[in-house]
Amino acid sequence: MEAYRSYIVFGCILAYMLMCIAVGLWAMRRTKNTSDFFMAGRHLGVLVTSAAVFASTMSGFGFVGGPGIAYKSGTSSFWMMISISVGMCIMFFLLGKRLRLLAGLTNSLSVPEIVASRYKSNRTGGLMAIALLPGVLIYLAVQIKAMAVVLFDLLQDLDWTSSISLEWCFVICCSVLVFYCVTGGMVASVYTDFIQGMIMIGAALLVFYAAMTTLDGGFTEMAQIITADDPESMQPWGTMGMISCLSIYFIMAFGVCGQPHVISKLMMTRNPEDSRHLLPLSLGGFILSAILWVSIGITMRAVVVGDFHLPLTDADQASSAFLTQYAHPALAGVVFAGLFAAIMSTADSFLNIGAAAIVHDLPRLMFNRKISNELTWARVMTVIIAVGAALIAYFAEDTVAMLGVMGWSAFAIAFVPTVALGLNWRRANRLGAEMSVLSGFVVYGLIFFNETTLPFDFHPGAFSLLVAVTVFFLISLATPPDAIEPDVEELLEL
Amino acid sequence: MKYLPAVIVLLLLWVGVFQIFTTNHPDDASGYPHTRQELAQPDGASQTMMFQGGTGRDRHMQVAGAGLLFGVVTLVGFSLLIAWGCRSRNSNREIAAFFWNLMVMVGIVYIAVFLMMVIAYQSSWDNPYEPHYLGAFPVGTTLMFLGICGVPAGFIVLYVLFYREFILPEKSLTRFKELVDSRKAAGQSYEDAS
Repeated sequence: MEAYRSYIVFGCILAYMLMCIAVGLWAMRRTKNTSDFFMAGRHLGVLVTSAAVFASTMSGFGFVGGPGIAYKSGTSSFWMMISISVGMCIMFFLLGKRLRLLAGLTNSLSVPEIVASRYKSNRTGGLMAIALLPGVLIYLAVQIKAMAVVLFDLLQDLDWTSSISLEWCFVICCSVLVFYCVTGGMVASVYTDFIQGMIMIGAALLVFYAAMTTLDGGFTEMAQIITADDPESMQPWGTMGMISCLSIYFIMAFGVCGQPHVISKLMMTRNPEDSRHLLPLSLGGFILSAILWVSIGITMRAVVVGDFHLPLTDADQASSAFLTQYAHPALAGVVFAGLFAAIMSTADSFLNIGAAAIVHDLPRLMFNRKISNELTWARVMTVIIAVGAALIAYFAEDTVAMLGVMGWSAFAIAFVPTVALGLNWRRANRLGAEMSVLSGFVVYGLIFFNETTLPFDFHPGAFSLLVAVTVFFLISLATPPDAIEPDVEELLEL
Repeated sequence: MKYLPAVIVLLLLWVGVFQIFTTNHPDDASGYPHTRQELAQPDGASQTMMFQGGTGRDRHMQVAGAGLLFGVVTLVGFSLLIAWGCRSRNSNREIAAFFWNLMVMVGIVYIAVFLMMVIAYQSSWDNPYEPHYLGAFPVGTTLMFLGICGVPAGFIVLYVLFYREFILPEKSLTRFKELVDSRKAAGQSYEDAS
């Protein structure tokens, strides 16, 4: 079996990609208009939506970067993961009902359109669409690059595919992604998310078992080995320390309700009351798939500091090193398919909201015009965005990696005050919303581009989000509330 | 007066941040490269691949108070945000006290677990190489996984159980449908783009 490891892994990934294409073809018949393309016709069931929510939240970072940081910094890494439990609570309590009701009332197809309806301001909604686009392109570029690099590494292990270049890997990955997103739009995206989510959960549970049996004493022995080497890295704050971990917890938890690719899913359910079941199912799925993060992270740190394994030259290799050394070939195949699933489930959401921002939001909100034949243009724009993101990933890889780090925080700064707080606070006004985004971005940009390290490694995104929320609150209180549509105003109190 | 909780939380968060930023920053506050060179920077690695935390007491002693303040206020803030999301003009007032008591209890447990985690961690300072274990991990780490990550499940249970009473009551849903119908009748709603 071991001799066929590469073939098994390749077979699993090939099967996964063919499945994505099949879903795209199936979804094409169900995509008849832009409502289907951007919002899956707002006809999604509870199970599919909840899988889409957690699969979009858990990007490739959870399968590669997360275990890598655990290897590098011990338990500090897990604050990013555990924050999602309270983060999803905040998101559903604040937005689960209100986003769906407002989307239903105004027939909105995107988050910027919701913002425009809430503040009765096309300009504010348009600014949100503009703020969204760079983030979408960069996030997408990071995901496409991750897919291409992983595929390239895998193909090198097979004799008859080792000559395939990185460029062709970009083309293959983009083609599969674009195919199902163009043909099936959001319908394909969420149904592939459902399958991707199930693969991620299965992969994580299998990895948990494999990790537990890596050493005879299981996780207890691993914890003891890590503690003997450096007690702090097995204590709750890890190597990064209390303040760094708490600020990560702040930005990750509060930031969930500002991630447009996640919150847009809340607008797609068939019934407004579906959010009641979405919350436990989404969070349950996330926690189960995040077990992989913990399992691989702890195992690889323990086996390396315990001298059972050679040190890694790149912390991000923690997952692939674990799968190569300690996992059955079939499990490695499932987990690599799970990795592609995690990356693609995030990437397809970004493709969709990016196309919506350009084809649907900007013409309506900034130019007061509606594009004729929106569905065709949405498909064309999906291809253009994917190609653009792939080119960015290929030609500006260092910058992309750096900017990719900003993604979560940037979205949090833009959308947490404006959407999560604004949809719950009638007093919030458009000046407060616009100034909060501006001030948050200015502060974050200054810290990030000056490469300033805040004391105790306080997360710059957490600091900037705190600035944005404070500005939003103070300006909205200090200036008179805007006049908004009476039914929207009433809906905010329902 | 109704904005007082938000004002207090924001103010205390800023006090915490100010305290953190003005505290003397020990060299190993955020860890340092592993003392074994082959782990910190193995051949072929372009940057540090593994960090160590150092001595817990030394690097946390001065900032523990500010960190505790920031942490507790963050958790209080999150609990208040969750409670804020339960507002509905049609909520069931008959069982409101019962529901809000439960919400407060979950919030208190959430903060208590955080404090227990901090205490468990600080109690390991005297004998860091032989910490007490709870399950597979040191007590503080287990509380992080099961407590900080697990206690919000209490909010989820309340969300599911009291959804019809406090999140989206039947009256609100009915009114929502009326609002949609009146929009449709007035032709106000965005036309489907098909």
